[in-house]
Order: sequence, then C-alpha cells, then structure tokens
Amino acid sequence: MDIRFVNPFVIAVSNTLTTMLGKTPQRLAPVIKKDNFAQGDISGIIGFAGKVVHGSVALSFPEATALKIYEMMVGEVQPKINTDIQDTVGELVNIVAGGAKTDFDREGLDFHISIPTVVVGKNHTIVHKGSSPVVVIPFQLESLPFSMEICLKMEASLSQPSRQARVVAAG
Amino acid sequence: MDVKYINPFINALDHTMATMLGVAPERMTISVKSHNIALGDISAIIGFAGENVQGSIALSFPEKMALLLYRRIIGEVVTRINKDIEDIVGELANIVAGGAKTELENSRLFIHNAIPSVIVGKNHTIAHKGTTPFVLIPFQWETHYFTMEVSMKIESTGLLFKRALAARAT
Repeated sequence: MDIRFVNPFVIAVSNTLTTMLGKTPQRLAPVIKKDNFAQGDISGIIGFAGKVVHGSVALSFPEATALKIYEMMVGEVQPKINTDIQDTVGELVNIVAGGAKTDFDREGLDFHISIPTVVVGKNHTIVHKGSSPVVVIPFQLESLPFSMEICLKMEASLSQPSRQARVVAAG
Repeated sequence: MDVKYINPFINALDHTMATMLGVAPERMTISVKSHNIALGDISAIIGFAGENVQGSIALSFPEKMALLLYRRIIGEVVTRINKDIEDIVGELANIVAGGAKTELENSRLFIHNAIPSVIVGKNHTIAHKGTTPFVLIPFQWETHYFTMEVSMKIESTGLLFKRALAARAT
C-alpha cells in the first residue's frame, strides 16, 4: 500500500485530536499488522468505498485512553465505558475518515464513508479481511496508547486511467 | 427506514446460507435495536456507501455457531475460533453485502461495499453510530442463534432534488 494513502488518515487523527483536545498525539512508527494482538477495549470502525478505492479504518483505545479523551473533551470524569464514550469514539472515527476523504477527493480518488460502528469488549481483536496489508499506526496521547488500523484497496485497472487523465488535464 | 431496503439483506443472507451451507435458518422477530446487548463472540462488520446512502451491516455469531459453520463448509472440526473461522465469517459478510448490493440496485440505490472487519472477543457488543435506528434480525438454526444488524441512512430525495437543481443552474 502506498504511503500516500496512509498519510491523510494520520494527518486527520492529529488534526482532529489537536482541535478537539488541544493536545497533539505523538505518532509512533507504523507497522504492518501480522498478528491479531489484543487491540483495545473500545474501537470505532468505519468503512469507505468508491469507484477506485475501498477499505476500512479502525481506531482502538484501551479503556483508560478512551476515558481520558472523554474527560479532556467534555470535562467530565466517567468511571467506565458507557454510551457517551461510545458516541465519542464513533464520532472521532467519523471525523477522521471525513478529514481523510477531503485529501483523497483532492487526488481524484473520491469515496463515500459508511456509518461508524463501535465495538466494546475487553481485549477484542480486529481483523480486516482485505487482500491488501493492514497498516497499524500506534499513537500516544499524554503517554496513553491508542492505535489506528488502515486497510485499503485500490482497483488497479481503474486507478491508472484516472491518474493519467488528471496529468493530461493538468498539463 | 423502509423495509424494502432491509429485505435485500435478508434475502442475500438466506441465499448465501442455502447455497454455501445447505441450511435454511429460521428468521425470528425483527426488532429495532435500542441498546447494546451481548451479541456474540465473533462478528463481521461491513460498511457500504453510495451517492445518497450510507450504512453498515454486522453478522454476529456465538463461538459454537461459528465453529459449526466452518465444519459445514470445510468439513473439518475446529475446537476454537482461529484464523480460518475469521476468514469464513468475514467472507460471509462480504457475500451478503455483495448480494444485497445487486438487489438494492433494483431500488435505484447504488452502493459500494467497504472491506469487512472481523471482531473477535468474548461477548462483545456492537453499536452503529448513525442517526437512524438499526434493525436487529435474529436467526435460528437448529439450537443456534445468530444475528444480523442493518443500519442505513438514506438522504432525502429533497436533497437530491436540490442538487439536481444546482447542477442545472451552473
């Protein structure tokens, strides 16, 4: 997978959290996902699909990170994951996908995003069933970890002409 | 949410189960999900989106049912959820969404399917974060239960009309 397609999501995470929390998360080295290691206690998943590109992105948080983000955002302390925390996580992944979409649109790779789904369960794992590799980007916010996973597939036959068309148009 | 948009998913599931597994699970009372109940041990979620529609579906299975599905398709006995089971569950969701896509096109709803994600975790819950309610469809096969959830948001035709007007104006 081209790094060009991962960056819009990384930038969107940084922008979203910086705007909403006033704190910029620290990005750690991305890895290609090999094992289904325990990811977190709450995850927001959103799919996206278009003519040329389709895939899914997931934001996974351990309980402590999710509660901290909620506290920073709303100013209220919650003892455990509840519907408000779920809403926050779902909304976060929605904003991230929306932010990335803008960048993809600019590249001429339009897609639509689906409705976010939030999964709650102690130490659940997420598997993306695409043929393309899954990129995991670990983040740290105030020394609390969370991660983003991206699985993205391009229709090779369709992507080429559209890119060439843009070059021709630009030239 | 109109039932004519839910039926394609039910039909696709019935058809997939019949052709791949030779089973006809019985559909039970459809309900609108208002809270998150413990759903299953393994779930496949697939999002879809189009010009005027977006949504997601989830298929959730208890571990036992997932193992049985695998045995039915591959003919091999597996004692707990592993990579192969995840593949099968993800593929099932993919096929159901693909089947529904074809039928929705008859209702002039054109969607693209995203890549399915499979969640593994004892008794996890799933919440769809749309403004529309999501429909929970329980199925029973022999003594096993599994569920399909469909959440779908359709932009009003008014908006499309406005868009068409705007296009004409330019």
